[in-house]
Amino acid sequence: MNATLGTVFVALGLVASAAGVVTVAGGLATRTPSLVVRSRTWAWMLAVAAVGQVAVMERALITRDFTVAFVAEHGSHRTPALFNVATLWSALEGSILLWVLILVGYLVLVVHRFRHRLGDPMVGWTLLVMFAVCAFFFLLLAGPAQPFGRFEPWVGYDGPGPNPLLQNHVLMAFHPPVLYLGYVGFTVPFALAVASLVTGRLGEGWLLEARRWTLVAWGCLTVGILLGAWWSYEVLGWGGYWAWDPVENASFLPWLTGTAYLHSVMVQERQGMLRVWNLSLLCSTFALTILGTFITRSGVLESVHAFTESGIGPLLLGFFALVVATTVGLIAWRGDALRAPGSIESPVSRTGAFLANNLLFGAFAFVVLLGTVFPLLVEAARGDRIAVGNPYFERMTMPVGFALLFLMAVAPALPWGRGTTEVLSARLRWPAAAGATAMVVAVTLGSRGWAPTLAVGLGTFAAGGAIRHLALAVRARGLRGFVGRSSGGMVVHVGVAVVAVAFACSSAFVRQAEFRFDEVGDSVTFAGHELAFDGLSTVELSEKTETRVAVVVDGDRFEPAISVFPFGGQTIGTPATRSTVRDDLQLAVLAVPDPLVSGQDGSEPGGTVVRVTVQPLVAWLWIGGAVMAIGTVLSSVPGAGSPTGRAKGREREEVA
Amino acid sequence: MNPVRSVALAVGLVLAVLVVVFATREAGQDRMTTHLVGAVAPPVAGSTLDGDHWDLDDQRGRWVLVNFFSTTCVPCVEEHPELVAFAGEHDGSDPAVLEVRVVSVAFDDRPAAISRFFADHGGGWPVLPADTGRIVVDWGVVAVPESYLVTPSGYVAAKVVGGVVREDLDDILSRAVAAFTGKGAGQ
Amino acid sequence: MNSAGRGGAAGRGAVIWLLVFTVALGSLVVSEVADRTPRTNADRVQALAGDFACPVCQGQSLGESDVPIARTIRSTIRTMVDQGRTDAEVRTMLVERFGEDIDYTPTGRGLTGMVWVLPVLAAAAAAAGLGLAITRWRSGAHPEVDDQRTERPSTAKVVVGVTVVAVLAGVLVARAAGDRSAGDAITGDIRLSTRTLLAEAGMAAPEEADEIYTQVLELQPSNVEALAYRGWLRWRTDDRAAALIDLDDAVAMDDAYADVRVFRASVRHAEGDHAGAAVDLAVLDGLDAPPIVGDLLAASRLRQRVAGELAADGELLAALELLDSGLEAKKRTGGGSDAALLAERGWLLAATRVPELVERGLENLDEAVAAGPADPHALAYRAVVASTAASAAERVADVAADLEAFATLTDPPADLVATLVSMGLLDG
Repeated sequence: MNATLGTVFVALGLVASAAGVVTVAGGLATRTPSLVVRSRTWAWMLAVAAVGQVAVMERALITRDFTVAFVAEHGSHRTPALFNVATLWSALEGSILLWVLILVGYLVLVVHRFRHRLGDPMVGWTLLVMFAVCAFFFLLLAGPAQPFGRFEPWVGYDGPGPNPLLQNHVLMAFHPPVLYLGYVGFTVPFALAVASLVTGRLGEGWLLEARRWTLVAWGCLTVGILLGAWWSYEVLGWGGYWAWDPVENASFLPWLTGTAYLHSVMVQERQGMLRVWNLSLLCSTFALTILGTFITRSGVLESVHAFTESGIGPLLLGFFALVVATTVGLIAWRGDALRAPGSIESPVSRTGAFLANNLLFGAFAFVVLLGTVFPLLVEAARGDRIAVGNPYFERMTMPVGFALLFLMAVAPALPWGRGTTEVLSARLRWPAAAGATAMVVAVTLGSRGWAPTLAVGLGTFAAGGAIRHLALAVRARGLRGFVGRSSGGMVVHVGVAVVAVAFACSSAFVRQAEFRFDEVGDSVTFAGHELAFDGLSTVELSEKTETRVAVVVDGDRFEPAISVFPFGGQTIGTPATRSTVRDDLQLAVLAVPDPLVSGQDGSEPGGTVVRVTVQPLVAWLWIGGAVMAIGTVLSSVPGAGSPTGRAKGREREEVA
Repeated sequence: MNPVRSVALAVGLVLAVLVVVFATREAGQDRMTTHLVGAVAPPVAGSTLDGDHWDLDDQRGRWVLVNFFSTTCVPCVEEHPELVAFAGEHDGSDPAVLEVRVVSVAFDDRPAAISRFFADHGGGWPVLPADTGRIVVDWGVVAVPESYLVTPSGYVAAKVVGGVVREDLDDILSRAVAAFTGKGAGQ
Repeated sequence: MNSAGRGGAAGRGAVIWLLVFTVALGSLVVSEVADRTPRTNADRVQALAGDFACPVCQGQSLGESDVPIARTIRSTIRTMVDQGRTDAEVRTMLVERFGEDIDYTPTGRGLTGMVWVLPVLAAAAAAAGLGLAITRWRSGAHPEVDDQRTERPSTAKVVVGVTVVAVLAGVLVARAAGDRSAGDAITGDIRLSTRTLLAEAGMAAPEEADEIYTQVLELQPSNVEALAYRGWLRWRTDDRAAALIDLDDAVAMDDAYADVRVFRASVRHAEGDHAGAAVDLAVLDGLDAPPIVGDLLAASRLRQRVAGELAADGELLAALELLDSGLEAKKRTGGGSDAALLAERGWLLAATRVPELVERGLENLDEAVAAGPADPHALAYRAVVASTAASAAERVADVAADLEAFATLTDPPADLVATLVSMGLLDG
């Protein structure tokens, strides 16, 4: 029943999106607006299909209806209730269902927002692109990624449940949906960009529209990426949160181009320049989300995150090729005609800074993309396998990162026109002093090595500039000074500075070691902490056998555990973390004594091996992320700097 | 050509190359590895199951087959009868057949299970069950089963990844002998 | 602001900037040369381990991975570091044995070196483009500066100059990335283990599962788990004779294996050998069984059924011993009192109709209801026994309460309902 119903919904969605594409295309070609207006119907049909199929699948998962193949392969009676809902996005087909749900949600929002202007060709082209993307994903659901296949469970059948790694932490429930809200959200600005290119209309109203959608998607993507890092840190137990893993990079790339766009669009609003840049950035962001999905799901690059290989790889690659071809074609055809006639007055101006910003983010994205796909290129050319990992990315992104921090500090202080030394000096003096002071403080507190010290200095410089800006705005407008585009943006900058400093310091000063404990009372000293072993205890739960290792660190009791899942025989560790604002201490169990195993590393059998990681400032990563999220929200509330505000009166802040 | 067009086309070209590379890549390829072949055999030394000391260096002058295995590894169990047959044929009792000593190194395993394994499946050659970590890393073994043929002068002549088959082993042995004697003594 | 004041302000500004740069530069220098906590060998090992890939895992470094081979390699690195070897020697050792793709830092040579050079080239190109654009704007903004003709040749010169510098810089970066000889690539088979096969069998259809278990047994004749589960599978598919053979063999092979005891008890009970089933269950109580076994027993009510049959055969003592053994086992593992077992005990005692035993039975039933107020058997049995016991009159309230509680249960067992209905305690 569930399977049939689900298949009906998938078919409905495919038909509705195809109908949408056909009618809108026909309406645009024959200039019949009424055909385009019809898209409202298709949008609602799509909504019914998308919501319906997700509802059916969730129902099947919660009731453990093993007649549905997806549930038979990923559900289980042993899985706790909340995780059954999250099981939807723990595997390929279900995650595409989630993707489609969010995509259709955005489509309905778009139709609703432009409901009075459906006859406008620009809206028409936007809808056409969105219907086409919907059609592609429904095609995936109807073809290689069918979620509603049938299965005949025998009596007493119980599924294997989702990957035990995904059962360990409640964050798994939130990380993919938020990430997808970001990823999928970039479809709308892409559609708007394509519409602009095709119709040749680039009035500032449309770009404002695109900016709003991009901000929402970008905000969700930021939170999604940070949630992923947090989950990685809490669950995997190796003390890290970012590994420059292909799937992580895949989610980071659209973030980079999206950030570049959000800045560069301000130049277009104020001076009408950098239009081609903005259109290219929007199209690149969407193309990168498709590329990212391809990398994650095709198994073409090895990664701990990668889903198992499936048949959707070729289709996704084809879609990526189509998007790239369309974008390149459109820009090559139209791009030059859309260029603004003006020029940048002076490089030492905010406009110049934003152009430099675009280039830096572009360089950043280039490095990350190159490093990710390079092993493939070498293998294709020469047949050798190489690996490109952490050392490469750290070394190559460091200069770009520093340059961006510096720009983040200086650019908001630059005026739009020509900047003079006096103005800059006056505005940047105290933030720079704060930066220098922070460097001294850091060195006093033990910072060694020029890179983290410089990061602290530049980060404080940038945060100082942003806080100064906020202080002036609050002085001028009271609490309302916190909302609005530029103030919200400054809050986000503070968050970014915090994250950058935390990232630099935690990477540079992390200390990690493995220790073996044999008897209760054994103790070691590491990184200024004393660790005393306090015994093992084994707890049997319904889905796993958990062995807890008690370690007392400086008087606090930690209980990292290692669990054996009988079904599938997997051994998963649960690390124990203590977070303070100063540093984090994480313990992870690597091995517990097994009297029959002779130690492979040459040691005697038995012994509990625990990995200790001490890392400063990790908590600030999450705090900085929260600040970024708050800033994004503040920035979407209209303030004095927004066009709405500006229309009321040319009330500019000191950004003269 | 205006600059925008040239840049766009250049970017498009690069991405097209990328797409082609992705499309032609076959995921999950396995390849035979050869990096140890022709090199001096790394050390193999330790106590056997019976408690004796065994060292590869003591075997100079004889051909040796070094086999890495684990009792829970299915291909290892499947290849075991082949190894038993091979060892039996080359045990030196027949002067017309070249003698090959076999030694097994257990990868990540328990002595009790190994004893039971050999009791169940036969095979009377030395097995090194303990302290094999260094040996495994020296030989670059990442997964079992793997077997290496070592010449009398202590060089690795051939490597077999995956389970061995007796006929293939005989074939490899004869080729290695031909190459070895062709090079002359003292190689 | 008059010029003197402005000069003063600018002067102060200049002083502050000077201070800022000095302090900043000074901090950087100090941070580089000051004493640091000495880098221990363990730190070096961790740093090295993070720079290399785990050869069998997907996408994890040697430092992150917990698989045995990774730990073995880490310990080898530890040994080398303790011996005083340099980082380069460790790199050489690893790459020689496992191939170049174990090193996360791509070499600076050859085609691979391009990964270092290309970003530098791209950055140089971007900078050059920016520079050119700026000069073009500058000359466009100030048309009185008439160097249009000299513009083009100098543009070409600029481009050439920038390219040369960029290529050199790229090559330098690539060289600085490290010098390593290229090795052959390496891959490894993923091991297929009997554990995997057993897990597969657990999920497969009956015929397939039987084949898989048989395959495991052919590979490992002493795998008691495969034997026991095959026996149980055969029992479930009605191949009784074969099932018993397998289960007996499994017990003979390992008498401390818990799962096979449950299976064999089940089988024996179904075959009428209740005494044998009781023996198996008693042995099970003495073992340290995983909780899933206990759950299975509780759900199937195997113990209670065996006890019931024993009592029906006249072996009340044996039945009570069986139940007591289960109760004790549960108490030992800290699970408290087992309401279902107590209920059964009380029921069996009451069934004798011997007054003292009935009273003892009622005590048990009281304990049962206390231990499990929502246990259907406890409630139903106590209701029946209390209403027919000699002390029925005093227990009317209890009976009513039990019946009420029973009525509120969402899914009471049908046989209990039938019993209560037949006794007129519950409406049909």
